Amino acid sequence: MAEQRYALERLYEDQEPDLVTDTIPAVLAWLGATGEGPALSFSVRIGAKPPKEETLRLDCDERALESRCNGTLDRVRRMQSRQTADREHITELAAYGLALVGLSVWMPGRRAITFREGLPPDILLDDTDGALRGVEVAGRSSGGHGALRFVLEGTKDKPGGKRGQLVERSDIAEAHVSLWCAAPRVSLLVQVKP
Amino acid sequence: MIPAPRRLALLEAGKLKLAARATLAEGGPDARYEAAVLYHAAARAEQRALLALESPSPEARLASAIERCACLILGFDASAVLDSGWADVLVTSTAVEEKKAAAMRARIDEMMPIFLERYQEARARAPALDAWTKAGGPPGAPRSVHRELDRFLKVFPGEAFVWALRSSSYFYGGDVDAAWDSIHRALKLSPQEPSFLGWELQLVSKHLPRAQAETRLAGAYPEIERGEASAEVCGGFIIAAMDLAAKSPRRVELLGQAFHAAMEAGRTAPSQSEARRLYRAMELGLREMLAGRRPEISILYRCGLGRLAATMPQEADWMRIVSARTTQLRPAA
Repeated sequence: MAEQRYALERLYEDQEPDLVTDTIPAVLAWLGATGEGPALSFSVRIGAKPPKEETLRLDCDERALESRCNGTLDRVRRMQSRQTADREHITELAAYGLALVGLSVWMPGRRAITFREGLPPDILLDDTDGALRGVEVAGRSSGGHGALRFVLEGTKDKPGGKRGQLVERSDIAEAHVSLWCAAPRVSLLVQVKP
Repeated sequence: MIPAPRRLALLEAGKLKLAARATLAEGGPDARYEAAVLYHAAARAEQRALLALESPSPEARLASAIERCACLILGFDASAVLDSGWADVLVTSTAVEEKKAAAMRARIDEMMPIFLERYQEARARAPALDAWTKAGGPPGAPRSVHRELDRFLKVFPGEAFVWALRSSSYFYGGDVDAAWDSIHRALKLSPQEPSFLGWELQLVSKHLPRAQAETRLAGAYPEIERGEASAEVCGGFIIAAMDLAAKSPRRVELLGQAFHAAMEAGRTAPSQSEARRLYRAMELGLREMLAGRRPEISILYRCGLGRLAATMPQEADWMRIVSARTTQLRPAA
């Protein structure tokens, strides 16, 4: 199985720093990464027919991250203190950060230009009118590949999933789905369009 | 190739949305309000991104409207969503082929009913506030209104207009410091709203030390002199200037500026409106004050405000009553 190694602080170079700063603390808080511990490993399933399995080893050097953005570790601690009723935002933000990592590792040279809240895809790579390109993102705390598959394809009660939403949009020329699960640490990266 | 102004506006919008989410994720007692401020700024950046396009397609207009509305929903601002955000989504949808619009709106169409339900619940729990707003939000709101305003703001901390109303209710309840804080909360959410700017200016003389208050007015006056200030800003300026003139060595200068502000406000108010008559009365009253005379209540009759004059006691300071009437925050129904 191929292995990709990525130092989280590299994200500040591979993507717009303005779009990275707020996602890093969430990645660290969500994955419980502390100190200079061993790299975090994700088993990543790429594509669909047939999927390719790779390992992503994520190095989270807190000192390097703090030197890129002061206050990062304080923010991690606040997120981990569990004094907020809006915990789901940590999962979403962490998934955004990991999606940016996925973009930098498997689509080198492509950069996010903005984030969206109201209509997919969440991350825009190109906003050419009528031919958008982007990445739809989601995170799950648990459930592994099964849970991610539901997000991608939908369920019996709610068919379509993220793939369906993106495929039926004629204003999107290229769409990827980037899904992340914290326990077990697995990911699913699929190009659903074209 | 994306035009540079659009690229920058999109980047700013993206950054603000992520910062808002991070604020919510970090939590804290004021996190929802602070996140709302960031989402409001993101909505404005989205608007700038749209304006940077030379001739946006109907789909681009709809996408922008959806994104702005989503930011306002996530920014806990019911008035902005219900008065303009959702309206923009519906209007821009009509120019896009039905199936395409439905696909684009899938997410916002799920968000909207949940938001609407939360709003209806919050309004149902605020009967006194409802009655007060229907009466035009007169000064001296009862205690129950104060409680309901606070409760409403807990659910919708991004509701700029309700923060402004809270400021007004604090002020008439005698708490100028809290009134000042509340109007600043409203202004952080909607920095360009003329009625908030006017109300804040009105509070300057009550909240700040005299020298600081005079400096603030000196900073606001050039916009009035250029004829670019709104009637609300002129109204706030007049009240603050009249307040300060009473205890300032710069009395004549301040009254002169207030006189000019009254002329400007009258010019911008719709013709034959009560507002125009009120500003004209203030202009004539200030002219009297500048000449060292006490403004007579007959000015109100001369300006077509006889019904108002008839209900005032002879000894009343009619200038203050009239100026307060011009700067009253009018709540939405």
